[in-house]
Amino acid sequence: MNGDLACLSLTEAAERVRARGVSPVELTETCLSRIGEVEGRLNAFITLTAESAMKEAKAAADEIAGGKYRGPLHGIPVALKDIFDVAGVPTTAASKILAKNVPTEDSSATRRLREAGAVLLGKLNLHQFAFGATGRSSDWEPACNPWDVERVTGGSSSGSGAAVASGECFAALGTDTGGSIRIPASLCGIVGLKPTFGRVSRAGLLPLSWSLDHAGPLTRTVEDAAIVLQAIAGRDDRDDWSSPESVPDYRAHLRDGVKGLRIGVPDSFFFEQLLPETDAAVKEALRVLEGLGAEVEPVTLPFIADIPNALTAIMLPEALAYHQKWMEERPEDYADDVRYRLELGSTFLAVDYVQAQRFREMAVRAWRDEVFSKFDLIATAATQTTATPIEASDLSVVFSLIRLTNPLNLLGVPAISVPCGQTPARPGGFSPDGLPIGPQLVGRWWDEATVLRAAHAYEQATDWHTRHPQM
Amino acid sequence: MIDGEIQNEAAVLASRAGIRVPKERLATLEAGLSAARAARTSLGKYDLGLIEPASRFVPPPSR
Repeated sequence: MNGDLACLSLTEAAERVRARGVSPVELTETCLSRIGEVEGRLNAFITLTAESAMKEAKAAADEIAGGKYRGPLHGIPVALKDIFDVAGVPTTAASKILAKNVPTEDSSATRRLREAGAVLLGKLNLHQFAFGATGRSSDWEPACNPWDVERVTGGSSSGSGAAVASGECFAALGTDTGGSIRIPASLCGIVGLKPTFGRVSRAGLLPLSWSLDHAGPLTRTVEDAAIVLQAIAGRDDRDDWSSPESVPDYRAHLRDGVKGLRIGVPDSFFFEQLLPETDAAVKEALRVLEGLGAEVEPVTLPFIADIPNALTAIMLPEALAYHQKWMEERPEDYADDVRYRLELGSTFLAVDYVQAQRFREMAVRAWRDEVFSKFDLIATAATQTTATPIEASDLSVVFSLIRLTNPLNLLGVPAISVPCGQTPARPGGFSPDGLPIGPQLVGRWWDEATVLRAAHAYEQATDWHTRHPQM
Repeated sequence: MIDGEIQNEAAVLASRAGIRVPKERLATLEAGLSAARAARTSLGKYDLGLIEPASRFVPPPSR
């Protein structure tokens, strides 16, 4: 992948498009060519819309040639997790139940990407119904990790992780209910941003859990994530859960550095079960941030041990409520693990759900008063382990993968995963360059700008984001 | 509806939730009840006082 257009960051590609050094048509042809080369091994796409993508690329090229440049997404090929509606293209959620589900309207995020001039390459694979952390269960077969195709990408935005890491597209959208953006980002060695709850509209997305679903970008660099978030963030009248909070210019302070930022390192829970390589890489990342001028101190996180229980008591009943009709009529059409999780939703009582929602209010107030009054950011790992072999990715792997990400969905705070290392080369299956590791930076509600700023400072001080899987 | 005779707590709950669970899956689902029990125990520790559940979760405003 090195040396060709497909390995550029979105930001670099956009600069070349703006300067007319490369056309949207060339970029789109590059992505389609890359897809042709690697898709047989990755299985990242469920639906490829090559013909319409080329039309959109030509339209973008004409518009730019005519002097109407819309901004950094103009003419840039992107792809969407297959739960974002695109008019006229099936939204399957990786389930045959929805194989013939063809929406007539774009999701709001799709529409905003179109308005920004992006070229839509197609719909990406996922863990069925976005209900799983490995990406293993899909009626289109699982997406594979570009660093080692025998291993999981992480999920549920599995195709998004694989496609961005492998250069099939310059950015992708995913969703995150318990870690489904950050987990594939961590395991595929790219950037994944879960914005604040309500920052990005979910209108036109298939829900997993209305109270916990977040939409956001997966990209190769932090600045790329800022660009995509800029396009999709903000209040949307089609989604009553979307927030009227003002949207800042996410690139305006991206290069301001971390000097003086206060970063809390959890004194419990988050560092207890890490793979030694992950622990070492995250601690090294903290040293880098400290070296850049951040103030790193331990922090005690209130209610942290009980937060995952509250999340489960909300997520599982909400998911079952959405799927109840199909679960009654055609349960055999679900992947076994997805069906099991949905069945588990029935074991929670109404009182459990209400108590969890009350607990959520209490926990959010405590984090606001005790954590984010003193700290600008919290730093943890995004995942405890690296990508596991697809066949070995059972329920214990799932629990391990979601452990560090899902508390932040209950709290609704913004969180990003950035590449921070790779496991050393090992005999017997690991790729020669090792497997990616990602730390997680967590910010105050609505303060994605500081999260991006710190992640960018770290990224620019290291070279992890310049490494690409050799396929 | 449950496929077959109602045998255990998980079966009753699944039935009330309106989903079909075949007999051979009930044992696994019964084991899965531990997650709900753990959540109940975990959240039951707290005096939630007058805190009301938000009908629609809204994060705290920016500073």
